[in-house]
Amino acid sequence: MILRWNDIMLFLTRPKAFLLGKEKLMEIEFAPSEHQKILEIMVGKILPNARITFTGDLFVEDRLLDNSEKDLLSQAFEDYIAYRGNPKLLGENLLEKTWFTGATLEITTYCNFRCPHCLLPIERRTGKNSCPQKQ
Amino acid sequence: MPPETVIRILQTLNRRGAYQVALTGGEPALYPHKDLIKIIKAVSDSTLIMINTNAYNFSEELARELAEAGVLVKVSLYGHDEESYRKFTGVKDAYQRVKKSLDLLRKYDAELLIDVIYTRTHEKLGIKVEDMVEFARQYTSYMKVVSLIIPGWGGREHVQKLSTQSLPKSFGDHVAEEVKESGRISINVYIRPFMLPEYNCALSKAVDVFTTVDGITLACPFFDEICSHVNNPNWMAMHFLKIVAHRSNPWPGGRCGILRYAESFKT
Repeated sequence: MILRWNDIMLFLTRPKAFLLGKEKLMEIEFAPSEHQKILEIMVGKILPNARITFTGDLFVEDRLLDNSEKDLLSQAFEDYIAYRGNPKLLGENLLEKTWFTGATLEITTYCNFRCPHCLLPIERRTGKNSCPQKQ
Repeated sequence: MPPETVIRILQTLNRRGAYQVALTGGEPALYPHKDLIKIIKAVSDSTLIMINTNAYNFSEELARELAEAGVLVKVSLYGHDEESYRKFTGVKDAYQRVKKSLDLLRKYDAELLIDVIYTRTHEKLGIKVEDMVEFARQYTSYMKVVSLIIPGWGGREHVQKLSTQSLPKSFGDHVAEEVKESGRISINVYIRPFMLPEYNCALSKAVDVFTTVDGITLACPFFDEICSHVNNPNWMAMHFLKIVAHRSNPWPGGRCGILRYAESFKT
């Protein structure tokens, strides 16, 4: 199974996801139980076992998922998921080739600017649950 | 997040081979300055630190300490005068304070990089990118113009247009060459301990598009080790936040490239 994970924005606590198209952003809503199940599949099965294809998608072997799980993912992500055999993968030992150069660490969530392109929700921008102590 | 936790996380990352860290937010300069300085002093010997800031809240002491510790200060510039800053950020005194911070950073000869943030909103407000670049040039020659590329926002065309403009050499080239030679994959781990899921999900995606041509998603191999430093259930979300990997050709000016470039002139 191939999953275009880089084009899927799966929310963690809200039962919805965004699917990124070339020019459009599609929003889909799930039933809470359905959403929970998708999270479990992603965290428990797909992400730990996935490998990366040359196109940057995720690949997992079909046998890892049962039919109901496949159906659920197919319904949820439609064109963003495909069953088409074994794709060309980046390498057998991807992690051995990785080189951890750095980290981006968020030390506070608060920002006093209200830039229109910012993706911070309004309650963060206005300072609730913000930094430990403002200067 | 308390400074002690930040320090422990940075030390863990350093042990795992990550020698660069970008401190971000929110706005990291709104973190208590004494704690920020404490963090920087604790790890700056072993880790190259970059701070991503809007430059609103810099004290003289902070600017001096950052300069002395060799921290890269990456300022996101949103305008070039009072009016453009007020319109875009919604903050009356933003321009004056940003200018004051930039003056301080220049005074102490800090390693300064400027991201000229130019979005469709800037276009709509009649703010010209040339004016912003001109303003930034007063302070540093290390700058790039960036914009968000989000499907539906028309960002791709917007950025293509910007990329044709004459700007300093891409910082990303350096890391691209190194990765090509070594055949390795360089990776930057995004750690967001304070999470609103929708924010982090959306932003991490935006960052992916923003910084890489061929972003690759991997599970973090030392996720548990990092999480052991904090007691926050939201850290589970990091599974979804991913590691951003540059396989071959980071987008010009990607974070990783900047840091590698910066290291080259630090030594």
